[in-house]
Amino acid sequence: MEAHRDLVILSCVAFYLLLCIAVGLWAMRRTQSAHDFFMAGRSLGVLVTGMAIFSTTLSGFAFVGGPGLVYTMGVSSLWIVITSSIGFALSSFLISKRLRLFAELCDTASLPDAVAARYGSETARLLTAIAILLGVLGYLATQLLAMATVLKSLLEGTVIDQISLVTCVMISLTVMVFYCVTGGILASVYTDVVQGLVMMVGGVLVFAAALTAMDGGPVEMVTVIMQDDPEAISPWGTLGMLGCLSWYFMFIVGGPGQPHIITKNMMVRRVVDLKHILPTSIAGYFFSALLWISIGLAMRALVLSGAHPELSRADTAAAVFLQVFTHPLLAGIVFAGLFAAIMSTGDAFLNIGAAALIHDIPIALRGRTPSRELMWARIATVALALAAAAFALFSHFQNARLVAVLGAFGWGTFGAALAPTVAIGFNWKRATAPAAIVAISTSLVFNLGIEIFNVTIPHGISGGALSLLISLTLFFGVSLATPQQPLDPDIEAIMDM
Amino acid sequence: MFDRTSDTPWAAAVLVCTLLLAGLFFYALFVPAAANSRGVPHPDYSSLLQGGSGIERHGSMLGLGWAIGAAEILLCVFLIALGARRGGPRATEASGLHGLGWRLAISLVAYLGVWTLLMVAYARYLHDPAPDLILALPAPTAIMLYLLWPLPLVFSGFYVFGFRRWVFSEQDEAAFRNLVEQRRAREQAERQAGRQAGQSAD
Repeated sequence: MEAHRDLVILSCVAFYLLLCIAVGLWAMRRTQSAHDFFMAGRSLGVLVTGMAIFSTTLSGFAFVGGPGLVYTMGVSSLWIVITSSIGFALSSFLISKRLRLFAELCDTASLPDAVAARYGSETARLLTAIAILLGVLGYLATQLLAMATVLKSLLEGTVIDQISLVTCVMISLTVMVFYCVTGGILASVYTDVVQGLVMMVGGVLVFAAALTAMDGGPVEMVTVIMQDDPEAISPWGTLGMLGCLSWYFMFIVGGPGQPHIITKNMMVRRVVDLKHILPTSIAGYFFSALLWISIGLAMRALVLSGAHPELSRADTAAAVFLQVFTHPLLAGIVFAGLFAAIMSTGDAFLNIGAAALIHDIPIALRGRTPSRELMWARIATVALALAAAAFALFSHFQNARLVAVLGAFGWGTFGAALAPTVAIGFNWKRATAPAAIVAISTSLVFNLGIEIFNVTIPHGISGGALSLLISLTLFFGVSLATPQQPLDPDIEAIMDM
Repeated sequence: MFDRTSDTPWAAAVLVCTLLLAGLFFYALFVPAAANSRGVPHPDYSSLLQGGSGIERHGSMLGLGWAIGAAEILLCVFLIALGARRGGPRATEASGLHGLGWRLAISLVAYLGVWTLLMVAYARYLHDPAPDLILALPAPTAIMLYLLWPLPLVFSGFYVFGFRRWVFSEQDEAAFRNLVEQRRAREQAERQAGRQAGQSAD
């Protein structure tokens, strides 16, 4: 099998991509309306939702960027991983139930719908939709670029040696768009189940492989790293204490503001199912995160001990480890898992982006959605994907900072813009629409400003964390400074539950 | 300023923690940063960073770091309290948490205890460059991965096993069903009235 390593890996990836297409075709028959397309008709079960939540949370970053960060910085980025135990619980207590109740009571089709229902403000709806759209464009572009880069590196050295990045972007785009357009969110969440399973199995098997990659096992691995630099294997890694603590804050408190993740709660069949979804998500995340932890540390130790030459780029840590240190079949499964991680996040973004484009913004501006909403939802999905692909390629060839700017406009911005509005505002009746509007707009300006002007914050403190703190403070301040608005009695009743 | 609704005490606690955390991070921005505060390039491998001297970059910041971590933990627990089901049989119990409060308090103490343990272990690690390993990791990193990571699962336990008590009771569910039915009936009546008004206008 070793002689046909490339073929085995490519076959696994190709099989997985075909499976996604098959799921798209199956889901197409069950998607009859725009509500089905965006909310899966509020019919999802425990396993599907739980797997969809964790696989959407772990984007391609967990399989590419995460191990790369551990390789470069040591333990630092594990502060993102360990937020999972408290972060999922926090999001569940703060928003899962209320979002699900809003969804049924007000027949909401998106997060901006729920925000508009809570605050009775079309401006809040519009700003939420704009924040989502901007974030989606940047996030999606980075995911597409990552997927195309991995595909290109897989195909190089095979019969299709000279394939261009543009072609790889188009292949990636075609598969993802196909199942998102045909099956909408239903195809997205069912492929998430497959994607989640692949990620979990891959995470556990790679963890086992990484522990045995060095003679002497994990003790030898840690000793090598510690002898080179004790700080790298300390809790703070090379980033430092305050940088790590700012990540811890941002990834926990910013969690309830991630629209691509939290909207999954609105699709659950029964409210009581939420209690089973939480452990499912945590377990899935835990097993998949083993890959993030183990590959980075193993590659750092292997390089430092001279057992492997230095990597040209930190982001290749996972790919190199899989190619050199694992069985071809395992490498194939994990490469499929990598595509799974990227696509599970990408499809969620396509769905909420399309909802923002043809549902939320038209309602906010014209008071109604276009007729034949399902058809327009499909067209919007294609348009959004093409725009993201064009943006990714333009940025790759013309201005590499463009994608970085909007890509960084990811977790931190969503967290800062939406966590106060959703997590606090859905639980605190005194919160007002002007506060939501100020919090969302300030965080958008602050985060974009930090990226555009390339601001360096002392001690490695994350700009997203500062933005979240400012946004939270303003949200409380403006709420207390503006008159309390009368709530819709039904909304108030839900907030009392 | 704050109305006396059941969410008030918990929202106020969240606000106080937010302000505390904002103040601590703001203060940190003005603390002089060591040259290796964000790491330095590895002398032999360009793709790697090193932390350098831990005493140099963190020696004077352990107290500040502990305070920031403690404020974050407090904020998390108060946010959970804000999101939990509230109310009680008497008006004075409007912000009560149906017995979740003392459980949260005990978990908070344990969480803060583990956090403090991590910081103490790190302070020792700074002065002992070749410590014994605990399950293949130096003590502070072992505390982080083997204690600080799993400990907050207790909050998930409250959610899962106390769902009917602390998240969504059977009475809540019945009230919600009633609410949805009333709203649907209202919407249907409004639609009918709209249609009749349209017909009479024709």
